[in-house]
Amino acid sequence: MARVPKSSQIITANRLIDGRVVFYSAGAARWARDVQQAEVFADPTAAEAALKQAEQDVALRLVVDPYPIGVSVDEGLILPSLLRERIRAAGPTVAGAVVA
Amino acid sequence: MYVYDDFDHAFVSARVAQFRDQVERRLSGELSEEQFRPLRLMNGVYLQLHAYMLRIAIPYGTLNSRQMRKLAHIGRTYDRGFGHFTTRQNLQFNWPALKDIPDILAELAEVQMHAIQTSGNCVRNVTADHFAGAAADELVDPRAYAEILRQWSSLHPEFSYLPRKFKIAISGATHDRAAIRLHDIGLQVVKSEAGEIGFSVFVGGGMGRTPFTAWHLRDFLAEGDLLAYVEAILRVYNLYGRRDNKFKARIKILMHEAGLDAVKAQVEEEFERIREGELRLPEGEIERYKRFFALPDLARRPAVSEEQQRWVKADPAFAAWISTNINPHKLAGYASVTISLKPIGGVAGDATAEQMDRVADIADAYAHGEIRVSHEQNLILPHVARDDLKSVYDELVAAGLATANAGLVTDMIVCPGLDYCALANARSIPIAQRISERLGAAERQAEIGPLQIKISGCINACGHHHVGHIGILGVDRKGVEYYQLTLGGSADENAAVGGIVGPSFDENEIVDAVETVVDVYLRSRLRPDETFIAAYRRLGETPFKEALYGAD
Ligand code: SF4
Repeated sequence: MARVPKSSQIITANRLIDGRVVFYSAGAARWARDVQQAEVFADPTAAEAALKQAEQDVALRLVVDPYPIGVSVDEGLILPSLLRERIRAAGPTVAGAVVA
Repeated sequence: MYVYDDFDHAFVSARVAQFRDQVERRLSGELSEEQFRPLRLMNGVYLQLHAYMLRIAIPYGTLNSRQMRKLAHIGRTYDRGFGHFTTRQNLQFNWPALKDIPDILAELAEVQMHAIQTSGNCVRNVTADHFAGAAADELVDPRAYAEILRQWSSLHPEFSYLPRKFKIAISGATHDRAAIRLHDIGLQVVKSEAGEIGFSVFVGGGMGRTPFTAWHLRDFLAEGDLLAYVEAILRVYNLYGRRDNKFKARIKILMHEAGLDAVKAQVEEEFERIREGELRLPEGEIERYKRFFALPDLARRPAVSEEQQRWVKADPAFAAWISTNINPHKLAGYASVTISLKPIGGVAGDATAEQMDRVADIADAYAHGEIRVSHEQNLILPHVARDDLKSVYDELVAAGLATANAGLVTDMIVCPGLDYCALANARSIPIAQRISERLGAAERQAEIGPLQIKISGCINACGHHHVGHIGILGVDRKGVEYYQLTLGGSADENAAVGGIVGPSFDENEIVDAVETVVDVYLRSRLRPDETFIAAYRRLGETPFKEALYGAD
C-alpha cells in the first residue's frame, strides 16, 4: 500500500490485563477499544507528546508496548495505513473465526 | 497413557502457584514487562496481535477424553469458544486474559496438562507419529521413549537456556508421519540385525529461514542409551551452537558449518564418556513406561467388517470418508480414524468447544477414550472397531467433523498468519480458505489424489511450507501481501525442501497459481495413480514454471 504522505498518527498498545488492542483517546478513560475513538495527531510533535503520556500508562500498568501508527482519515473515518494495524483494529479477517 | 505420579503432580502444581504469584506481581506493578516477559513465555503465554495467546502442550499428541473436555471447558469459560491445534501437536487459545491464565493453568493441572516449555530456548514438546500405538506398519509404539524424553527434558537445568529452541520428534514406523527429518533431533525406532530395538538418529533438520533436511548421525543406538546419546547431542550443541546470531543459532547451522563428521566425533566422544552413567535406562524402567502405553483391551474381531462393507455400499458419502480418513490398525477388525479439522472453506486446525466435547464423547463411546492430535492439525481416534465406523461417522457428521479429505488437497497445514500472529508478514488462513473452496469439490479432490499444500505467513515456517508438495509463503512487499510458491517439498522418509519456482503472486493470483500447478500435474501424470509428488520428481519444475510464468 502506498504511504500516505504526511499521514496522521494515532497511538496504539495492548491492554495489560487482557492483551486487547487499545487506542489512545481524548476520552476520560484514555484507552479505547474502538479505533474510531482514537485521538488523531496531524502533528508529529503532538504524537510524540502523546506517546510520552502513553508510556506513563505503562508505568501505571494500564497498557504494554505503546507505539504510534500511521492513519488516513477519510470523511471522519480513521483507517490505519498498514494491513497489520487494520487487522489489529478490526480483528481477524477470517470468515468463521469468532470475532468480538 | 502416562499417568502423573506424586512428583509430577507436585511439580506442575508448584509451577501454577509460582506463575500465579508472578502474574499478581506483574499486575500490581512489582514486575515490569521486561522482567515479566521471559516468565510468561516459560509458561506458554505470548502477546499476539489481538490478545494474549496460551500454548498448551499435548505431549506427543496424546490426550484422553477427560483432557479434551477440559480444553473445551477452558475454551468456553476463558476464551471465545474455540481453540487452534498446531503443527507441534499443541493447542493454542487465542483470547485468554492474563488475569485468568493462572486459573486456566490450575484447571489444566487437574487433568495432568500444562504449558511448560511450549516457548523459550529449551527442549519443546516432543512430537510423535499420530498413529503411534495403533498403526499397522509400526515396529514399536514410540511414546514410551517420548515420555522418557519429556521427563528428562522438563526443567533440565543444563538445557533451559540453549542457544535456541530445540525440537525432538520420534516415529516407530518406517513410513515417517512425524516429519522426523525436519526436527533438531529425529528418532526412528529400528530393529538391529540381532533383533534388538534401538534408534536411527537424525540431527539438524529444520525449516525457518534456512531450511535443511536432517543429517543422519547414527544408524543404530541401543534403547538403553537413548538419554545419554540425546544428552551428548544437546551438550555439544549447547557448547558450540551460535549465540551471537539468533538466525544462526539452531543446531542445523552448527551441522552445516561444522559438518557431520566433526559434530559426530564430538557427540560420540561425549556419549562414550557418559553412557555408563546415571542416564543409562534400566531394562525394567523402559518396560514400565511401555505399560503406560499398552493397547486398550480390544476384543478380537474378524478382519473384514460386514457392517462396514454394507454401509460402504449403501452410503456413498460414508464410502468416500472411509477411503480417505481411515488408517490400517495393527489389530484385525480395527482402524484409526482421522477427524478432519479442515472443513471446506474453514479455518485449518480450529475446533469449537462443542466439537471438542463431541469428540470426547465419541472417543468414550467408540474409541476407549483415546484421542490424538496430528502435526497436520487433525484429530485422531486411534482404536475404533470397524463395525463401529458408521456410528462414529454419523456422529461426526452431526458435529460437522466428517469432512472426507485426510491427505487430499484441502487437508492443508496452515499457520495462523497475519490474522493472529505478531510475527506474520501476510495472512495464511484466507488464502487456504479460498484454495479449499476452489479445489474442494469431492470429485475434483478425488481426481487430484494425495497432495499436501502447506502455508506459512512468514519465514518462520510454522505452516511447514518448505516441505509442502506445494508450499506457500506469505511475504510483505512494500506493505502488500505477496505469496511465494515452492514445489516438490516433502516431510516424510523422502524428506526434501521445496524449490522456489519464480516471482511471488499477489493475493488474488496465488489461488489461480495453485490451480495451474494442479492442472499441469493432472495433464502430465502417466497414470491416475501417479501422485503429484511422484510426477513432480519425474518432470522437474520446468512444465510447472512454464505454465505459471510462460516459456522463456
Ligand atoms: S509462520 Fe510466521 S506467521 Fe505463521 S505462525 Fe509462524 S511466526 Fe506466525
